[in-house]
Amino acid sequence: MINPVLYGIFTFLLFVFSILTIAHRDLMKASLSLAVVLFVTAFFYIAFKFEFLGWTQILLYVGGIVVLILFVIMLAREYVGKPLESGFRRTWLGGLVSALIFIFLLWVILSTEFPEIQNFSTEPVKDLPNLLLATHYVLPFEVLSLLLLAALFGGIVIARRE
Amino acid sequence: MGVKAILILSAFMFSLGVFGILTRRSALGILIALELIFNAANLNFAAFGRMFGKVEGSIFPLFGIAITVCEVVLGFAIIFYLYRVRKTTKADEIDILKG
Amino acid sequence: MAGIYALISFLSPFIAFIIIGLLTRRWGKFSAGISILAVLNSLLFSVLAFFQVKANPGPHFVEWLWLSQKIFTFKFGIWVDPLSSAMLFVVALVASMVQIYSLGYISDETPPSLGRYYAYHSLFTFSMMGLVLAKNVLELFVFWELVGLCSYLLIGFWYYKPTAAKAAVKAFWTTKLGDVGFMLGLLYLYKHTGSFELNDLLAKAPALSSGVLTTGALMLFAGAMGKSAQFPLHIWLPDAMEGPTPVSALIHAATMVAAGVYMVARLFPLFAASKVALWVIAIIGAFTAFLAATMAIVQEDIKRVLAYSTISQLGYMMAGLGVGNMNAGFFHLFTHAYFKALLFLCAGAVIHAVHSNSIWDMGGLLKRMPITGISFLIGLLALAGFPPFSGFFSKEEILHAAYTAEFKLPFYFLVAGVFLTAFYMARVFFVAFLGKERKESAKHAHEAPPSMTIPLIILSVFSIIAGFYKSGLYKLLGEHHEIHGASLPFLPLVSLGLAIFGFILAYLYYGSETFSAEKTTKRVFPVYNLIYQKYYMDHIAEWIYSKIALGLAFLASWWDRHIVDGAVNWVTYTTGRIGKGLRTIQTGVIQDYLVYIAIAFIIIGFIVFQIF
Repeated sequence: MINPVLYGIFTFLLFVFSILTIAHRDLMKASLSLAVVLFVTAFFYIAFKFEFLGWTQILLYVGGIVVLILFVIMLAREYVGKPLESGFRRTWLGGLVSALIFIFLLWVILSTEFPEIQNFSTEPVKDLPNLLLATHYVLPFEVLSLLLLAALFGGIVIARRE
Repeated sequence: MGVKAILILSAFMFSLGVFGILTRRSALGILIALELIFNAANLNFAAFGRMFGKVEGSIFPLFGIAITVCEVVLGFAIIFYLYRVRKTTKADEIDILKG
Repeated sequence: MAGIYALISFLSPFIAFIIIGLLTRRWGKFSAGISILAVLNSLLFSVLAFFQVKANPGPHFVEWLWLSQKIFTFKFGIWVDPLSSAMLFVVALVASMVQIYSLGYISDETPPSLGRYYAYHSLFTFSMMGLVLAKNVLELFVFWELVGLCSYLLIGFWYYKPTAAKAAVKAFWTTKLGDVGFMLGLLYLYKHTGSFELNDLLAKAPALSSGVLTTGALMLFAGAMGKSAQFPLHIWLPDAMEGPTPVSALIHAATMVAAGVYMVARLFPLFAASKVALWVIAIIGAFTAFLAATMAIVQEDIKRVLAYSTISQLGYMMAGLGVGNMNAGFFHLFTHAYFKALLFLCAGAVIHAVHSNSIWDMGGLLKRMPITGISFLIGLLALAGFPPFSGFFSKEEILHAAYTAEFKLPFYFLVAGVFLTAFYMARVFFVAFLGKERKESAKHAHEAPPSMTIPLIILSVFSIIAGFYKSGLYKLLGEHHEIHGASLPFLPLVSLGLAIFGFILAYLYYGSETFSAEKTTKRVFPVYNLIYQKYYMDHIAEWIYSKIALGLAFLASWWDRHIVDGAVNWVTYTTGRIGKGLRTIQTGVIQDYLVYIAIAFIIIGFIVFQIF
């Protein structure tokens, strides 16, 4: 198991950079904070022994999506000519609503009894391709590839100039 | 470090994401907040998978990541389209649905 | 079979009405043909029904279920017995005569208006037959209102004449006043007997307490007063003469105005069970008979003379019923229908020839229009009660019944009425048909076309012979009351003497002009004026209408406009305001909608997990 201190540091990082992601006016910095959040989440996955998931997270999320977001932001900055900023509206109402949601979730989590953590019977990394490709997960997996293709086409069609 | 701590952490992330979606003026900011929400959900899945000691716990986050990719691609496409039509990416200036 | 015949007779004018109203309205002559065919068919089948009833008095029923509910079942049906079949025959005969006569009388109308006329006529004939054959009082009421409607439509047939339109409205409202009483009476009796069926009602009536019975009977009589133009609701009938003359003959002389009398006769056991109700009927009838006769004396319009005469004769019928002899009242109705229709049709022929209603524009018409003149004379003699014409017999019956009744007051009114009747009718005859022509138009008068004279001849025949059918009709109707002191030989002599006296007096005034009518008028001017102003009844009615009824109407309108409408408006206004308020939450910004979704999520979550 990983050191509890490391856990604490990770939790703290996640905490701080989540807030930064939402609260920073400069969208560039907000998306960079998002990258940190996703990166730390990947460490959590690896700590849970979901190594494959962790590396996918880093590759796809941090390496793909965040870079895409950064590209868009930089492109927009090129358009507008100044750093892209985003203010907030109805901060109080939004804050109240999200706080209430947090309280609700917290109450649900705290009032639920969870079972003890069990150990893996097999090694997850070895078992995952087997599960994904040879059991009933294979159909969702293939559908997912179709979905990605559709999104690709959709993105092109919508964003294309007439 | 139990499951509850991870769950509370992801609940916190989720609430922050909701806050971002409800308050950000820019459509890009809303998309970023959305990513946070997806991440919170994936983290939950992984935590439960770990708790039950099942490898399946990592399959759903995988799917989630793939769907997020689709969502981001389409989201940006829509933002571009909106910018072309309405000359703005500010979510609060887009009020076609106004009654 | 009698029921089926009566049903055919009853429905054929309705079919004619439907055909004319929906399809052939624009082809006037064609519509007239359809209507006349239908009514002749009615006549044929009513005769057949009458003979069937004569062989087997029944009563015969044809009925079918109309409304069926838990609390109350309503059957629609016809009831054929001697009374209704005799009345059916009268209606069919007079209606067919009048429709044939109308062909000549209003031939110069435009085709659509002719079609409209015949459509109304068919509807009226149908409704009147429905009223006659009604098996329960609800049905009776429906047809009662329908004939009222037809009367309104036909009085206002020349609706572009303001007087006609006004008269139509006046007739409608005045009769409606009585109808309210009628309807209340029906409901009141329903409350106490639990039935609308005529035979149930008649069977249960004697068992009711006398207070209930009297109240119910008097409320029903209010309807009869309106319909049969009894004092003080008689004011509409003279004005109703604004309609075409054949309409006056059919509706306002022979059939519809007799509906009130018929209704009382139909429900006679109910009325007879209450001494007070009979007393009221007798007094009102006799008083109306006398009052209307006095008013008839001073009229110059030939139709108005006949209208007042009709009111007077209806008074006789009512009095006959009121003194407890149903047969006498109905017999008078039976004979009166013929001779009064005859008189009206003659008057119509005269008016058609002279183009004026005033008797002072006529004169010497007997030699120019012999058939019309002789028919008028026959009608006159029948009305005035000279033997052997039908009116003599029926009037004698009523006088006899009144004399032998316990209560004598109606008798004196009625006897005075006999004298007045002879006088005013003779006056019309001497002025209009004898003497010299008073106006140029009278000199060019000539006999009416055959379509008009043939009905006159037929009705003349009936006016003569109807009286001899007395014993047959009585046998058929059944003796409700045996006559006390079977023969009173002096009574016919007295009334005949009075009638001859009136006739001679009229001759002296208007025939030979031995006495001057003008001088007499001047001598008794206050009385003359009172009568000429119709006893100020119209003024009183107008005052009541304009002050009380319109005042109430104003209050009702104020209430309706400000309170009822105000409440409705307030509801709509408030709804509108709420809607406007709610519109502002529809900002069109998706984030706002997401806020609502999130709030809803929180609320639902808190409820589901029962956090509070």
